[in-house]
Amino acid sequence: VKLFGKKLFGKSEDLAPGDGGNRWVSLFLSLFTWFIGLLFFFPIAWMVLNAFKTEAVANGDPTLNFTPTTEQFSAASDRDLFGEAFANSFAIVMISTLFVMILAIPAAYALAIKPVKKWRDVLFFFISTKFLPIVGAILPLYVIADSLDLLGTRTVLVILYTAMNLPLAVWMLRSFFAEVPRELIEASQMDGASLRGQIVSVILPIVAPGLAATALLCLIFAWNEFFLSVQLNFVDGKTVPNWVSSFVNDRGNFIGVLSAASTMATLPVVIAGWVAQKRMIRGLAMGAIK
Amino acid sequence: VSSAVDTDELDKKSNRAQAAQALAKKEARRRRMPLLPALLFTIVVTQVPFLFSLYYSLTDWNLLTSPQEWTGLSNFTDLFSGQGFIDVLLAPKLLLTVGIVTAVAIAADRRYFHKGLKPTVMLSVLVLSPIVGGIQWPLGWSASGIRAGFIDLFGSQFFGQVAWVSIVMTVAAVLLSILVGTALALLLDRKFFGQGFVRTLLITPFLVMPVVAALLWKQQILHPNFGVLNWLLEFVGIEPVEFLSRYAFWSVIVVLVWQWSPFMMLIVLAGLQGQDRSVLEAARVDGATPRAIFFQITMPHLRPYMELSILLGAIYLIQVFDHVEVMTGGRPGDQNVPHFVYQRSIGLAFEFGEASAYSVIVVIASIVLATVGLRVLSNLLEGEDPA
Repeated sequence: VKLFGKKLFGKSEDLAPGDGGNRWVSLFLSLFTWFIGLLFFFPIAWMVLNAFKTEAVANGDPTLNFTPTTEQFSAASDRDLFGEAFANSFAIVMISTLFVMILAIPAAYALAIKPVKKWRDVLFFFISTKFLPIVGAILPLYVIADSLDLLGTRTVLVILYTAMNLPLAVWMLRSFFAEVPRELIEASQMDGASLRGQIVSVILPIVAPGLAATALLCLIFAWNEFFLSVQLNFVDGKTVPNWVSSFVNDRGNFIGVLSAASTMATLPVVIAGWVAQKRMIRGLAMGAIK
Repeated sequence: VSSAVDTDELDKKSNRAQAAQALAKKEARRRRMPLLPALLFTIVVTQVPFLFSLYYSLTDWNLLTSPQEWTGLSNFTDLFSGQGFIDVLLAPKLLLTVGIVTAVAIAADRRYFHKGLKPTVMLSVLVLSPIVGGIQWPLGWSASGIRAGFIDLFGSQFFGQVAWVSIVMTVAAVLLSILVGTALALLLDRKFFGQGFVRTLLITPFLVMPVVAALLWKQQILHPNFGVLNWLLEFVGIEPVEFLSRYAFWSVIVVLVWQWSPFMMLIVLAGLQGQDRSVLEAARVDGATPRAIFFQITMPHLRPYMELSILLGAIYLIQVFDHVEVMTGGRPGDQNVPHFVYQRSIGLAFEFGEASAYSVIVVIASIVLATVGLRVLSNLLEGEDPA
């Protein structure tokens, strides 16, 4: 009995407490976890399926019996703004994440390795800005952007997405930096390394997984942002969320093409997340507590 | 002669002290340098707009009609002229409530607090007491009584309602997400066939663009005609339900939990995997029951991770706009504060003065939330003081 349990479900000491080592309970929990996983994924799978249906099939009774077609994907990518929206989104997301990192890395150094006085208060300040709701600022942002002639440009989104993600990045990076062994930093200082030298050649290699997790979260939040993009970029510089929502209309009959557009809009971030998930878990763990 | 020597020595001493001071100053400046760009950028981009909001909130600026005029605090007094608010101010039970909340804050203080945060506790006591007192006083403790009592606090029924929706939406979504997320993390923290694959399936909803998630659930899952959920209900013999017209609020909650429980799962899972296995093994050898191990070792270990998830989740969930806009269209009763402010300003009404007053109220309410959040943070940072 034990042998069977060991082979299928790993060694008994790997089982979480609560299993009690009972293989039937264990089997049930495994199947249950699979079921929940599929349940969570189902809406996304359904969206992808609908993207391969013709509009007539997609807007009828839900069915699995259909001939797959890619016509919705070509229809969606033929739509105005397709190339522009993706290019805008890529540029805005990449540049803002780059700015976030350029600003956050030295800041994290000044909060963790050679901390300024009252570093806690500074960190609190950064996080507290995340509590100011964006709606509370959208009006002045609109007015300021208007007076600076930035309304409807990519620049305004780059600036705002940088500000939006900076506190999270500072918070996470500070935790990663605090993990770097002190002796390494002291040794590099003895060798006369500059601040940049220390960061680039000593600290960054050690915190690379955390850096990747932080950058990825910034990318996700910036890529998915809708509110600011709709409010401040209604004419030019539209981003992917804008483009997706343009497929909804009052006449109906858009589920197929909407699904195709949604699939394309979601794919880059989903793939990045899948590839980096282990790093993200490690990064969040480091960033969470230490 | 001797006095001359004394002054000489004094001079030397003070010179040395000055030199040390200058050095310390230089060191402080050197340490501050790398921080300044990020700090200045954050102050300019996040604080300056708020000052603008504060200014607008004291005017009656409407983009479409009048030139803006100074109206003092009337936007705020209008907001808080509800009968309930006046009742609360006069309520004899207010004192009792203030006492209870203070006691709770002091109790929490001992466990969580740095000395420097005392003012924030006091502030939150001041802000929370009338709310708690108001809820308790007029209409009893039933769900509808609490809701009505809360809405009564405000001069504007509309704002009272959206504030209520915002609070319930945030609290429900955060609590459900952390419950579901922790359960998922516990399920995933076992060795079984396809563990990595199932984890991949589970994190995907978090990666989906909020607009896409809202549209997907609205058009393809919950839709009365084309929705796959209604199709399944029909399959087992239940009439199709118009989820989005009848249960829009809870539909939004479902989608929020669907997206945010994977995020919380990731953080809790990180905590579970950082657990020291030898401690668990030792407890088992000592004859601890699985239940005891779970509640006395695993849960305390997970607490900071769960607190962090709740904090990060609350920051994002209190600002939810996309889901509300797409799934409810901002119908009264399902509309939250962010959407209401949007509607009263650039979305529809262009009442910039009034909307700014709402923004300011939201920011003040957020300070209360931040107090709780910072409490969690200070707990996380406790005892950690590098160099």
